[in-house]
Amino acid sequence: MIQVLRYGKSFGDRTILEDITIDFLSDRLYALVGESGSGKTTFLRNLSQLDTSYDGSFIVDGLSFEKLKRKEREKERTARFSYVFSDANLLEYLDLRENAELSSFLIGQEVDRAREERLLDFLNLRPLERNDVTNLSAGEQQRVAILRALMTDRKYLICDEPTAHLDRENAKKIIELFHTIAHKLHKTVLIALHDFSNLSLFDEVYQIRKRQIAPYEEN
Amino acid sequence: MISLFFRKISHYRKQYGIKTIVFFLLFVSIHVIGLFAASFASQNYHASGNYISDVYYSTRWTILNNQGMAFIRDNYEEEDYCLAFSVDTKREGNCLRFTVNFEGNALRFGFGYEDLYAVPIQDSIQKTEQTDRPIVIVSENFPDDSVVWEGKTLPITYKTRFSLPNYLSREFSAMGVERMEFVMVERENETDGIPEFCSVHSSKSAALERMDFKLGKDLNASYDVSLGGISTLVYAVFGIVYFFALVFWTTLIRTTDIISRRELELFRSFGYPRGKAFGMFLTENLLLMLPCLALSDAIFIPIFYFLFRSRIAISLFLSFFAAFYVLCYCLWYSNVTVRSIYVSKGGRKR
Repeated sequence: MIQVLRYGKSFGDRTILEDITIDFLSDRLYALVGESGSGKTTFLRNLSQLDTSYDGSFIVDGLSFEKLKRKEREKERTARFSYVFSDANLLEYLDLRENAELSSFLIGQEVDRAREERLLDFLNLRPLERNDVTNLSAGEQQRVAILRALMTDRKYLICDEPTAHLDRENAKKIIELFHTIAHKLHKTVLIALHDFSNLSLFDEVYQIRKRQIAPYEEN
Repeated sequence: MISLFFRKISHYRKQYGIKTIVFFLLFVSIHVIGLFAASFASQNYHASGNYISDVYYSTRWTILNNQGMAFIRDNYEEEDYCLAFSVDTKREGNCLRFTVNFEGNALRFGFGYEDLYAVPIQDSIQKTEQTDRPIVIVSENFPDDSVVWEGKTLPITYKTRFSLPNYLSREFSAMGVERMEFVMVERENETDGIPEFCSVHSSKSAALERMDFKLGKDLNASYDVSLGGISTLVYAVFGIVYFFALVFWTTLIRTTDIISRRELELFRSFGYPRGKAFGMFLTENLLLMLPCLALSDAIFIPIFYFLFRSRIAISLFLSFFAAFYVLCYCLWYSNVTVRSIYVSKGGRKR
């Protein structure tokens, strides 16, 4: 569970978000919608501790990140959060499997082969595993990015507009995939979106409006 | 990470090729600036530091031909002069032998050409029992009892030690020369004081007057007058061009960086430590820089060596300072780039 307490963020005199208190429960799929520039990415970066300058506090599984020293904070962040970006951001000079194993390689962890095999099947990437990642479609690349994020088995999956470069049909498939991940793999998935078309697939939807985060209400 | 880097290089061949070319051009341009600076320093050196103040030099001769240099005192009519011809340099292993055909008083003035000259040490001159002409003077370390000159075997008349200017000693030492031998053979058919190819004067006195002799002291003074302040200015211009070349190329290198910020962000999101990211970024630049530095040095240092032997230090200094500068620059901007990814911006730092 993630608790957000009196969170606020500003750049100089410009306040982006202020006085936000909200809880994110485990094993659920959350959407955070809002106009471009409303602060979705900023919030997710703060919540997942990629950016540690903000007001208020984030308590993750009872651990208050603000009380930790820099190294400890980075260690706890890495142990809990994994990320999927709007661009799949795959390394073109590595093949599909190597991209998936990159996270383990970077932190010097042994690759969990059994997990990798299961995820390849789960994400339906088995038929593509021999392909060069540059030859994959945008939707397939995004699935590889999800595989890479899941390889380290972290509890929270933070996704910043993962469907931004996908057509409607592929976007829906990816959201459905995240739904399965949340419920079958027991992950808490937070997704920032500016597309309001697949919101019915989410467990909860929040919207950023007027520097606040509140449950989404259809107009 | 190194293997990752090499895979990246092979994948982004074109982009890395461009960056490598920029690195190479940086060092080449530095060497070209060095060539001009060394050329200027070479002329500067000749004029300002290499002339013995009370000896006359034939400025015409050096312009006409590099094979000899006349050292003549004011009272040359009393045989107080030396002309050196046909300087022959021969190297065998770590031994270098100079052979000179001379006319005049070689025991007093030695021999040389351009900035290369050796002078006998007066106290060390030993006469042998030979009295035949031509006079043959050799260095003490000359191993044989006779000298072969133009097919004839000539007995040795004098043995002596020679002194070399310090810069020449250093230069020869840098060349790996451990032993130097000098041989001076008197010219058998006396001329009128000037080599045949230069003149057909009827008397030595007239010939020497036509050679446009100038006193070393005056040469140094004339240089000081004409280039004294300007030389500093010229060196300053070289320095400015050098500095701007470094700034220009390093800025260009930064713009052609291959590791994208996105890649660093990705690495960071997986928990890749900041120190390692910095090391990776820096290593990439060094691995590109070092071969370019080595190649440009391999091309230009021999050029410096053959053109401006005693100024090779200029090339080495400019090259290594450029490498040092590029290294510092890479350190700085690697740190700036990695910091921009790893350090939070805006808001209140918690």
